[in-house]
This record gives sequence, C-alpha cells and structure tokens, in this order.
Amino acid sequence: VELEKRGIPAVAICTLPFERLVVSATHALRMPDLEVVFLPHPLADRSANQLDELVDEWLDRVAAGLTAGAASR
Amino acid sequence: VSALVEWATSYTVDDADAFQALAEEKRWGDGLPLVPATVEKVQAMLGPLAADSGRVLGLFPPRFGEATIESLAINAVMAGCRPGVLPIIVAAVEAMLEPQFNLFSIQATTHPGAVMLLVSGPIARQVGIHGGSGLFGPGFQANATIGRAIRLIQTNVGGAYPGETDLATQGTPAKFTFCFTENEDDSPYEPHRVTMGYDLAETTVTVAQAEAPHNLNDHVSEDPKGLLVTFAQTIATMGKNNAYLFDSDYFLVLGLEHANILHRYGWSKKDVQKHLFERARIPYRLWRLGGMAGMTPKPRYIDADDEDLLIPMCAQAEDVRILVGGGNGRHSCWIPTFGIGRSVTRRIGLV
Repeated sequence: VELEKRGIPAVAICTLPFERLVVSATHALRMPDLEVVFLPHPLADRSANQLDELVDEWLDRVAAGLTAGAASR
Repeated sequence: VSALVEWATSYTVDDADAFQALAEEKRWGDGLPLVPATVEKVQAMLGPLAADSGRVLGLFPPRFGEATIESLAINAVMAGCRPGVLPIIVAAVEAMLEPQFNLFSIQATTHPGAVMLLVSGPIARQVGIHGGSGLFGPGFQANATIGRAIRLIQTNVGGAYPGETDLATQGTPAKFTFCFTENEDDSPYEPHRVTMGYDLAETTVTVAQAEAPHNLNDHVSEDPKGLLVTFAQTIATMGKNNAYLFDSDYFLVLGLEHANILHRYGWSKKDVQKHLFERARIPYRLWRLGGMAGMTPKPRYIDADDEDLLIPMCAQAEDVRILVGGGNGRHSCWIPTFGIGRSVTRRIGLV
C-alpha cells in the first residue's frame, strides 16, 4: 500500500484465508484495484522444493500484477 | 461505522430484545446481550464530551473506520458501561492508535491476542475498577464492561470480525473483556504509572497486545530465589511469540504474597526485571527445533554454532513489566504478548 502510494508498482501476496481481510482493508483505503495475488493455504508445511514449484506456478501472475496498472500510472 | 453512528442518533426504543435482533443482523456484537444504545443513553455517556463528540481520534484498522468520540460512546453504552468511564475509553483508543502498538496486526492476526487495558490511578478507583482478589474476573462491573467496550470498538469501529477479518486461529476468552487496575492499597511497590514516569496523582491507561494471563503457582518458596525459578521456568516456553519476536514487552502481575516476599528481601522492580531477563531463557538447541524458528531473522547475538546459547524472552530487562494485583494466595501471573508491537501508556486527559 505504501509503495503504491509512492507510485512504485507493488503486488501484495497472501494466502486465501486472508482474502476478506485484504478486500476490506483495500476498500477502506480507497485502493480497491491494488494488485493482490492470493496463494493457496497453508504455506508453512511446504518443503523448499514445493515452495520453488509454487513460485514457478505464480511468478507470472505476480509479474503481470506489477505491470498491469502501468498504463494508468 | 457511520451507519452505526447515524442509526444511534435516532434510536429511542429502549427494548433489549428488539435491539439485540437488530444488532445481530448488523453484526455489532460479541455474542452476549447488548444494552440498547438509545439517544438518551449515548448522550448520558458522552456527558461533558458531548460538545466534542464528532472529533476523530484516528482511523481504526482493518476497516479504517473513523474512531469518533461518539462512536466510542455508543459502544460503551452497548457494552453496559456506566456514564463517567468514557475518558478512559478515549485514552485507551488513542493509545491503541499509536504506531508502536501495531493495531492492524493485533486486529487481524492468527495469534490469540486481546487488548489488555490497565487503568492506573485515582480515576480507576473513582469508577470502581477492581485490582484486588479475583481482579481478572468475573464479577466486577467496571472491569467487565470497560474491557468489553474496547472489544466492541475493535469489531464495530475497526471491522475486526472474528473468523473473517479477525483471523485468530482459536482466539481467547480474554477477547471478550480484559480490563483491570493494580492493588495499590496493598502493594509494596510503586504503581505502574509511577514506574513509567507519571505522577501518583495522575491516571493513566496502558494497553498491550496480550494473551490471557498464565498462572504462576508457587506455594512453597519463602525467598526470591525459589519464587523466581518458578517464574522463569514458566516464562521460558517455546509456544509463545515472545520466544521468537523480540520487538515487544510482556507483563508479570505479582500476587500480594509473592510481591511481599520479593519486597521483604529488598528486591526492587528493576532487580526482578533483570533477573527474569537473564534467567527466563530457552537453550538454543531446543529453541531452534520448533516454535517460530527460522521464520524471522535471528538476532545478531545468536550464534548457530553455539549449542549452549540461551535465548531470552525479550530484548532487554526493561521489557519485563512488573505489576501487582490480586488478593491473598500464592499465585501470580504472566501475560505474554504478540511480540511485534509495544505496550502504550497514556495519561487520561479528558476529564
């Protein structure tokens, strides 16, 4: 949120159980279009290899989020 | 928030059942019956603060709702508070909104953290906050309702809805209400506000992101040595955020008999703080096996090759906060905290 306010593209990353919290907070902060990537939960029980796979799976989505709003910025 | 404020400014029906049904529909409660927040009662709660009712103390996360004095008064009425306690609640909310308290995290975290509210000083006595036998409840109107008002504000103003935006894995009964004062009449030590640099004649609030009190039972020690072994062994446990997150303070509430033993042997609060900081520690060889090991950067003094290193439960001796409360008996308690964020003490200004 602070990065976006300063005009620096940012993507928030969190797991799905936090979706309502994030939506509530971003709306309250009048930043409903903030790019958020919701990962499956939980992360804590994943091995390093599994985390690597998760990164491979979601990295493009994060990168897309960083560039998606560029036109409007 | 504005819906609640708007609605309460026109509500005049003093009907508990009707109000309860409406509150449940609007999700304004904590599960227990609420007092109807009629215009008349809210005005009585505001009292001399009525002229200032629209003042915004800050934005209360995670919804960033406007915490106006009026919105706090409405919640105080709903919680069952008696008129006269609003200045305490205003000061507590101002303290919670201080950046070092880290309010957003405590509102949303999976950790079972409640807002602990210590009221220290003459106003605590005046409004009937109890610090003697059984101070953590049940049974004391001011303790129960002021603490409850804080929780209702967290939900109704801040938007921390349990299970949705308040994501506590299990929560804690302390989240219903957690307000008390010290037993100043019988304590051999100075009260907390004096330790924190305030005058004895002033009244302060202290808020902390606290777990429910953990019992420290020692029925046999007659000197500080044994007593503090019991305390240190109970505090040095891996299932606490304090074992892994050091940007915080925690509280020790000494029961009278334990406090008198320490005082009789000439121990100051500082002596107890220093002792517990040094002795309440976890061997690194255990510490690294569970808890939150590896999740946060290790403090610089932790040498991964030193199996015998002892890890403290806070960053410095001053982070052990010593209070005295309760009645007869050989029990004290430890109040662990969230670990990211510090307690905030403020003078009650609006009287």
